[in-house]
Formats: sequence, C-alpha cells, structure tokens
Amino acid sequence: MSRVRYRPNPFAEEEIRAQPVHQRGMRKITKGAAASVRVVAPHKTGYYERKVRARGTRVVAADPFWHIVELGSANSPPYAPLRRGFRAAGIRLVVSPKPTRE
Amino acid sequence: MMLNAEAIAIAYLREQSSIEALKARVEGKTPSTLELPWIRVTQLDAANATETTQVEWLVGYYLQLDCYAGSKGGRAEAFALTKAAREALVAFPDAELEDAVPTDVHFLSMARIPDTDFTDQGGARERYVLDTEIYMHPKP
Repeated sequence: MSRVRYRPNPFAEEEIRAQPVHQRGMRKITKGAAASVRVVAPHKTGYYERKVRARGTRVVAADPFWHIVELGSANSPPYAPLRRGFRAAGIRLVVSPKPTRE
Repeated sequence: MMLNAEAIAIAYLREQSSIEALKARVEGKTPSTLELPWIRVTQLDAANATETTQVEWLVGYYLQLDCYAGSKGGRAEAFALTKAAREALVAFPDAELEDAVPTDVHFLSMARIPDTDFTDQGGARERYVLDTEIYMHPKP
C-alpha cells in the first residue's frame, strides 16, 4: 500500500470562501439573516429596519446609531437586533473584533 | 419551566465579595445614581437546549452584562468589575441556588465599548459589555 502524505493548506478556508458557489450559497443565508434582523429590530420610526441590508455575504446595519440600538447605553436598553436576528435565523454567532479580508 | 435568569444572575452577583469590594450595584436597569460603578443585566434570549418544544427544561439564557465604571473610576475600574463578574460566573455552575441549577456558562464576547451618553471622563463613561450564555434548569 502506498503512503499518503497529508499537507494542510492554511489558506483552505479563504479559498473556499472565495469560490463563486460558496458566495452564491451564502447570499441566500445572508438575505435570510437580514430579514430576521429586521423582524426583531425595534419598530419605532422604521429607520433602523430600512437601513439593514444584505450585501453579498454581509449583513450591513447602516444606521449611524446602530451601536446604541445594538448594545444599549445608560439611557437606552440593548435591543440587540443583530445578535438576536442572527440567532433567530439559526446562525451560530461568533463576535470577533478582528476584520476579515472577505 | 422558564426561570427568571436576570433575577437569578443579579442575586448571585450581588453576593460576590469581589463585586461588593468595588462598591458596585447589580441591577436590571440603569441605577438612579451613577457615581459608583454598576452592572446592568439584560436578558436577550432564552433558547431551549433540550431540542424539543414539548419540554422546556434546560435553557440557554443569553444575558448582556454592562459593567460600568463609576464617575471617578475609568477603564481600570470598569475592567476590574468585568473581571470580577466573569470570574464569579465561571464558578456559577458550582453555586447552590434555591430554585435553579446552572450547568454551564459560555462567554460570547467581552468588548470595551465606552458609553457616549455620558459627558464625563473625556466624553464617555468606561464600560465593558460582557455577553454570556448561562445554561440552567429548575431545581428538581
């Protein structure tokens, strides 16, 4: 029997993410996640909801006060629409301050 | 049977000598006076970990802990308070509670995000936001 040599590819995940078939698959998931965020967002003026968009493989909350809506402040409770929306969409949430190249 | 996770976590943290030593309040809302440090506990979610909707027994309670420094405290105080809360929660599964049995605690994030609603301390009050998921079931 011949020996098989395994060489790990440190760029494997990045390469998979760059593939068009992965991007297409992720877009469906991203649209669903954005819809879920809109459902759980606070419904006051509707401004925050209108500013939540799926862009490619990202969900973008373009409200300039998104951080207060998400995390709260001394005068405002944390509505957490992004965290709650992703969880409701069945997505495992990993909060990481490090930006990715994607 | 659902538990009042906020009340349970608040009562537990209030008993910790490390948090008392910082003269910190632990509340479910922003306290009326803001000179001393405080922790605000807010429940964001409660997911059934039993994987059946017929039985609500083991539930993962997703809590956000806002750990604020006092008016003279600064980043070091906010960090010390967050560290004390986090270490107390690590020991939570070993705690003997009246109505609940905590089985596991996960920390999802611990971000330093000063609160810009304040104008003291250079334009923002120092705060760490500690996201945690606490798995608990009622005491049999």
